Amino acid sequence: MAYLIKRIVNSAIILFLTVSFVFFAGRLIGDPALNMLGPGASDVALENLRRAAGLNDPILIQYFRYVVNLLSGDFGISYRYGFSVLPSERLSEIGQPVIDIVLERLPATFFLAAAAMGFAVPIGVFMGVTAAAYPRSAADRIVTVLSLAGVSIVQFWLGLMLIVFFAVQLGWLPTGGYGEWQHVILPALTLAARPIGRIAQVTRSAVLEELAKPYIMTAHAKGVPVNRVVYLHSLKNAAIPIVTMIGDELSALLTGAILVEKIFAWPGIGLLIIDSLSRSDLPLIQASIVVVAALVVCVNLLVDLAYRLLNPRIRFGKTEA
Amino acid sequence: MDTNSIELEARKDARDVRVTGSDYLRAILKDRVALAASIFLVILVVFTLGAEFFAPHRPMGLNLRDGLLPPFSSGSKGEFYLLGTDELGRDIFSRLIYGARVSVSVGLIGAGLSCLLGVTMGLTAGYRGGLYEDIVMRLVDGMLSLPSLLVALFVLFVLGGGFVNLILVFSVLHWMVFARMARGLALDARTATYVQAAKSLGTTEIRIVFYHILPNVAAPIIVLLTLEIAILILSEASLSFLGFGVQPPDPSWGLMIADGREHIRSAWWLVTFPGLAIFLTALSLNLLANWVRAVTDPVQRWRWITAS
Amino acid sequence: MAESVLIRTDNLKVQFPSKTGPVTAVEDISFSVRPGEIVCIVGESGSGKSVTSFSLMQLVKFNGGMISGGAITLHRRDGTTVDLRNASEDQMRGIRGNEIGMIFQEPMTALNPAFTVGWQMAEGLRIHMGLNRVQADRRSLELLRMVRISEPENRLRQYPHELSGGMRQRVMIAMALACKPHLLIADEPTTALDVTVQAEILGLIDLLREETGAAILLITHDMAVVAQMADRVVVMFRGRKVEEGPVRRILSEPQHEYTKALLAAVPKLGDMSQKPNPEPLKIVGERYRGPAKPLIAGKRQLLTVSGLVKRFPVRGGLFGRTTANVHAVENVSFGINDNETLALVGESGSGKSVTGRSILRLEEPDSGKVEFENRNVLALDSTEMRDLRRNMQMVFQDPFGSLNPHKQLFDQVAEPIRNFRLDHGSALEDRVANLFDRVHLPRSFLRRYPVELSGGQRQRVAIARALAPNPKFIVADEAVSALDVSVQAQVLNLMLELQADLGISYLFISHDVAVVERVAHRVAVMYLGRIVEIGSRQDVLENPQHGYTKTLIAAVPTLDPDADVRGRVKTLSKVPSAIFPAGYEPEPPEYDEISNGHYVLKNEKQ
Repeated sequence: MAYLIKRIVNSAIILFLTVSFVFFAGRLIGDPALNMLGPGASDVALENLRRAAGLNDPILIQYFRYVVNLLSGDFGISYRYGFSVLPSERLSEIGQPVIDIVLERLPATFFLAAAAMGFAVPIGVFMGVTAAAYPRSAADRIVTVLSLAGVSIVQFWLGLMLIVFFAVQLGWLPTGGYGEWQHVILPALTLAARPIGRIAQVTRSAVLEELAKPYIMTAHAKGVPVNRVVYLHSLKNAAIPIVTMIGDELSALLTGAILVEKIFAWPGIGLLIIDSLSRSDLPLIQASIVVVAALVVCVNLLVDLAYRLLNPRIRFGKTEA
Repeated sequence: MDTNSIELEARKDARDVRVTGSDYLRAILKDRVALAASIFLVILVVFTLGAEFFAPHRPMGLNLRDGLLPPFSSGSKGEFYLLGTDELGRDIFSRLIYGARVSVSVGLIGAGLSCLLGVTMGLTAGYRGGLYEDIVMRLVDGMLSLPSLLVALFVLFVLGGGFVNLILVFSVLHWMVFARMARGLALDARTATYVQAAKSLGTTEIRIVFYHILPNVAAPIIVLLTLEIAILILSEASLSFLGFGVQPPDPSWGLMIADGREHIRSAWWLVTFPGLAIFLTALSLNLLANWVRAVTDPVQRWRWITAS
Repeated sequence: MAESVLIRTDNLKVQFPSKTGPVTAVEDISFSVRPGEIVCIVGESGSGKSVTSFSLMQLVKFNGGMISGGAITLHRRDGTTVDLRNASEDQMRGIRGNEIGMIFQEPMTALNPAFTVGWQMAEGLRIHMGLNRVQADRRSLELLRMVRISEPENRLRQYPHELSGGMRQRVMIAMALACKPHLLIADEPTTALDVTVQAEILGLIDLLREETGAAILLITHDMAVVAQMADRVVVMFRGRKVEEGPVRRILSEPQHEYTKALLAAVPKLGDMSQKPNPEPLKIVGERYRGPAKPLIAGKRQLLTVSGLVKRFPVRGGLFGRTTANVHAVENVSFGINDNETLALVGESGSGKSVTGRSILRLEEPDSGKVEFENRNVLALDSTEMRDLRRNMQMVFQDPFGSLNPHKQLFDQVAEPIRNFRLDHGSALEDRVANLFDRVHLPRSFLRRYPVELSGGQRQRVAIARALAPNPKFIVADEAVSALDVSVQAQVLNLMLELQADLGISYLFISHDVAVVERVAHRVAVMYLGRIVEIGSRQDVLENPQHGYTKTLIAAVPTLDPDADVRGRVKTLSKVPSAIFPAGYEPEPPEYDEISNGHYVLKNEKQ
């Protein structure tokens, strides 16, 4: 319990630092007002906007305001979405709050990540356990090379190749888009390649390590069937590194889906980030990064909770020796 | 029993049992996969260093008449294009060779700098402990939990892309993995009996860290370095593809894929070959790292050197 | 009953494949076990005793081995016989854990850490006897009571890491007996346990043999365990059986040279009863040198330790505050004269190693005073401390870990000489070579790496390294515990020889009372961080006064097959610990002086 509180406090600090980083780095780009209104804006319009948005205040005051607003869920107003050159006082009435835009995109990203992990976890774990059960066999070698290939491939390139083959040549699946079940298959496969490889590698080495431990011989001596020894006795002990890897890869999917979403025109948060970067929509970029960072922190916390369930030694207390 | 075995072993030449450089050489010659990977990497490095010599065409040489030629075709003046040309008639093979120079050096320099920074921080943190270690490891944990590709994108968006910025961003965002590993290794080493023994023999701290500990932890760090080079080459490709990495007209593998994307339906070779180059490079690095790990693992080492 | 045979092996041969061809681990092994009998297989590391025991149930194949010759005949419950060498995996599963139970050496790791004790016990019952969960739990409870574990209901719900080593081994035994096997194979069941716990477990095994009627095949390296437990003995050496017979005959009239050597190398408690000074062990095959000159301790006090305290914090709570302390070393005081050996003897957790390490400041003690040749060791700065280490050296328990795997032996032994700039160039080379001669290692080893050496050889290198700066005092922390008994005897003799020639003082830290009796001038017994009794070796070991010293000495197994083992079985409950809440200050120890220099702790901690 104490450990959990410590973890949550740590996560809060990380998020706070992210927010600070995003805020100050954003200011490095140049005058936010000019950025917002575009190079054609008149001096009067710029000055009005600055006054309305408090951009003339000292930077620390602005920073403080930004943080306070974030805490109440206000991430600012998008420069581009639902906004045209307007009198700046009315900015907040017309412009769309960025948090709404971001939250609208989240489900698509979640769906894609879940689909990719749905492919990756069972395949990766199965490959890893098979390789570990027969070390140095042909199956082991194949799994090793396949899993290394999975982590060596460039995701967006794999996506393009799949499009060429399955969508353009064979015409079985759409080249991109969102809505039908057919749309998710190619992007999810593309995203699954790397996690399959990494989960297989970690599973292989963790299970191999467990299989060399004395309790495995105890299980054999009890007359436990071999498959049960491998898939139950060893895998449960090997679960912690595997779950860690799954968590890592899930985080990577939430952020690394950027390119795949772009290639398949998948309307998730990754595509949103690319769009807002190309439009220099600073508040939107900032909000996306903070939200994704928060998601990653949540995944890490969940992984931590999973440890507690999986390892009785952690569950019952002592965190440090 | 012991005295007998002393006599027995004394007659054996020590060199029979010790692992030397030539043992590693022999081991890699027997491992076909690792051998293929290292040959590929050697060729890659040779091509990169001597790009001017090996590339059949100039990488930026426009030749609009020979645009979008498929692989193995001849140009209007009878030139041979091994891997075809892009829409501006530039030779894909030559551009791949020059692109390797950018991609590989980003990977090498970026990973090298991260390694230097991370290992220094990690080793000292692990060996000295205390508040310094606490601060370093908090920083490492914090930075590791950030979405690194996203942060890289954002920083490059702010600073602008390009070769130097790319390397800077990579070094700042990737040193933590080295620090974490080096710290763990130093922590293990600090309590290892041989380090305790060295201490009781009056060995100084500096000598303990660099003479005793470093050789014992070098292998896993080299493995990680190899893996990170592969990861950075992949990241470079992604960032360049999005337009935040290497800027045109410099050829980089990621950029070549981005350029070829609009012709993907008609000219498959524009996208296929640079992607394949990245894949083979990263795969070779991974295979090599895998082999190094197996060969230097003190438990497995003997099996791999003597067997297979 | 006497003529029937439960299990018999004939010319058993086990090989392990390697790329250079199969390596034979054991060959031509024939023995039998009759119902209700205890047969011991005894041998040192590399003798193939464990491989043999793993072959009986085809378990050796899970380690990559294969049974390539011979036959293993088992008489099954239903009266049929089966050759276990050729039995199918299905058949084997029905036998493993059902007709034959097995327990292993490492109780700490032989239980699966991810499942509760109850789950693991029930698994075998559900597989073999088809019990449902409730029935299995009931039977598990019954079994835990049988192995005399306290609060068995709670134990079922606990995970292995919540139990002590002795309790885990009891759980292992209960699990192995779950399906009422006719044969129990016990592979070094007590090697990893403290001697008092070992005595309890051995007593329990003996008792259970009577209660269940199961025959027991006990694999051990320890001749004393053999003497206490066995009806018959099989002696193994380098993969072959060298001798077999009833325990009394093997102990009193060993036939084979190896058996004689093995028996001679075992230090026997009581051998030294009339001798005030340490003496080397007699080693068969070596000409008995006898003490060149008596190992008489000096009169000048070399090292004085007073009021030494070392506590390790146990952290907990919200902010990682220290909630309790492990009182590893609690107010320990003693002195060592020149040319003298003081033995610190105690079980795991007694604080004996921490004491030794604190004296050398490999561990920084919390308080107390250490004086070496009238210099206050704990007050020295790091440069002065480094200088002092010329005179105070250490030999560690683990000869595999204490040498740097990446350095040649020459460099390792030269390390202290270089550190203190004692010699260089050819003088350095001569000096190191002479040190190799000194510990009886061939000079051809100078350029080798630790991985090329056996355990005993490595420990010689470690001793040579400790000798290199000509120290006056060496802390030997369990320096012979990891070695086979015959190698142990040689290393002990070497240490005594060095003391006789060089006049070194030892702080000899050990858990083995019989070894301590052989080498020590004086003995200090430690228990939970305190010295409970200290005095001359003869006073402490022959006239023990403190209750713990008496228990410890009584628990040492002897080579006497008539000794009573069952009297030691007791219900195991809480293990005493040296953990106290933060801020707790125990009262300082008070000692009674029984006779000249023989002190016994008066006040207990709790």
